[in-house]
Amino acid sequence: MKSMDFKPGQNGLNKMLGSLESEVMEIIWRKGCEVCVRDVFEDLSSRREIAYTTVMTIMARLSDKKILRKRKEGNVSFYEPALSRDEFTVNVVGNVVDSLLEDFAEATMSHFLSRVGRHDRETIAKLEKLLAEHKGGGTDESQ
Amino acid sequence: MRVSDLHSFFIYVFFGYFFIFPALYFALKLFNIRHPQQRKSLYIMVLLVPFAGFALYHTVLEKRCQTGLLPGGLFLVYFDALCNIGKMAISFLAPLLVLLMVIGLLKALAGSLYLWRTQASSVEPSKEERHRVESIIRSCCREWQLAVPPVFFTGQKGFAAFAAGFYRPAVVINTAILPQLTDAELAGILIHELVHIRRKDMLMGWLLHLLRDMMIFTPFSTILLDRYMLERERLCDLETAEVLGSQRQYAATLLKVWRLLLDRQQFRPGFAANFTGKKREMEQRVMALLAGNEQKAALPGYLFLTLLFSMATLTILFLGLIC
Repeated sequence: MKSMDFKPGQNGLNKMLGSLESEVMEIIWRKGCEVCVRDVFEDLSSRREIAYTTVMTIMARLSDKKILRKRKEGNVSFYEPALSRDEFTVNVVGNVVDSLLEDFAEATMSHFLSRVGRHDRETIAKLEKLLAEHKGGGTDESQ
Repeated sequence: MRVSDLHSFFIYVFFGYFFIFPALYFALKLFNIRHPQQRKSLYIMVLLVPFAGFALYHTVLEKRCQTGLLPGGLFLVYFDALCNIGKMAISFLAPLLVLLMVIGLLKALAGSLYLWRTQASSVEPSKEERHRVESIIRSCCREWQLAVPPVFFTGQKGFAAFAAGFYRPAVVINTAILPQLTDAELAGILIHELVHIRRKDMLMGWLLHLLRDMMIFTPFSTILLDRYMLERERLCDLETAEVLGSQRQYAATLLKVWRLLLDRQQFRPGFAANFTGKKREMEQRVMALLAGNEQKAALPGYLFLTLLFSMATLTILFLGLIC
């Protein structure tokens, strides 16, 4: 399951997923079997106005997040849940609790490395280059 | 003692840092203090000075207002205004500070819970990997006459290794990176954590976080704490590199593990918290290691102690003049 935003102000699955994503997942879990986009669209469109392409996009996005598994048969994509509803909930709750504990326990821990940000690659590359230049230069002063 | 009597705490913290922070900056530059131990000591001293002033002026020392030596005129007006501002601020801040203290105490509990949870969800590495880790830890502990800490292996992502716990600290290591590390690189990581344990850094870190939380109304406390944490890591890096015999090799390990974590973070499952990037800290640590012996430049002991004492005394005297 890929990373997702947690929204404590929302209810139920909306805490973890968008409202349409939640509805799609509820339908798929309720069906309990492999479904195609058309199956979900027919169910959803009976309750609200929604475009077929919107459902297709949402299901593709859920597949990217690894909440759904995708299987292609010819031109048709079939989806099934990667996790049951309960497993998904336990997984998210566990991650939220772990994350909260980690943030509050930060003061009582000592890391080898602090948690990394997303934009560190350039810095690493720059430092690796510097390190290579140092290796090529003189001796290691600590020896 | 009433809450309003604590107004001096607010004033000492607020104005104390305004006085000592520039002094700290100039001292670091003027004396070119680079050794992480001395820098760490300076940051701790500056962080604690307002508390020291508060304690002294409420016990053994007399404040100016208590001695009755207040000049009249404009000074008295400003002095009164300052005290009144302090009283208003502390009456507003006092419940918040108490809450933050409680949260700070709960953080210690959270740390224990997190360690317990990590232990409960620990994974069993291969015999070979376990032997690799344990042999490094045992040989270091034997050398330093340190009790061998428990070691937990986890599949949790987002870190390489950490040490946690006050009473019986443990080392937690991420099994995913083990196969990608040479023995020397693994030794660097584990020795770093053992140095933290030997220095009791976890307890000190928690205490300083607690103190910082009590001074949350000034940004200086957070800046000082962050600088202290950086120097703490630099000191551990220095000791680790000395044990390994090569600062460059250890710097290479830091960079390699940093890259590994970054690569793995793209596939990090589950809930995504907004981590603050610590790129600057990492950069400074690696640069310090590449600087070699330059980073060990230290003031002679007597001079350093004189500097510490002077800065602390002048600040406390200054605070006594204000409130």
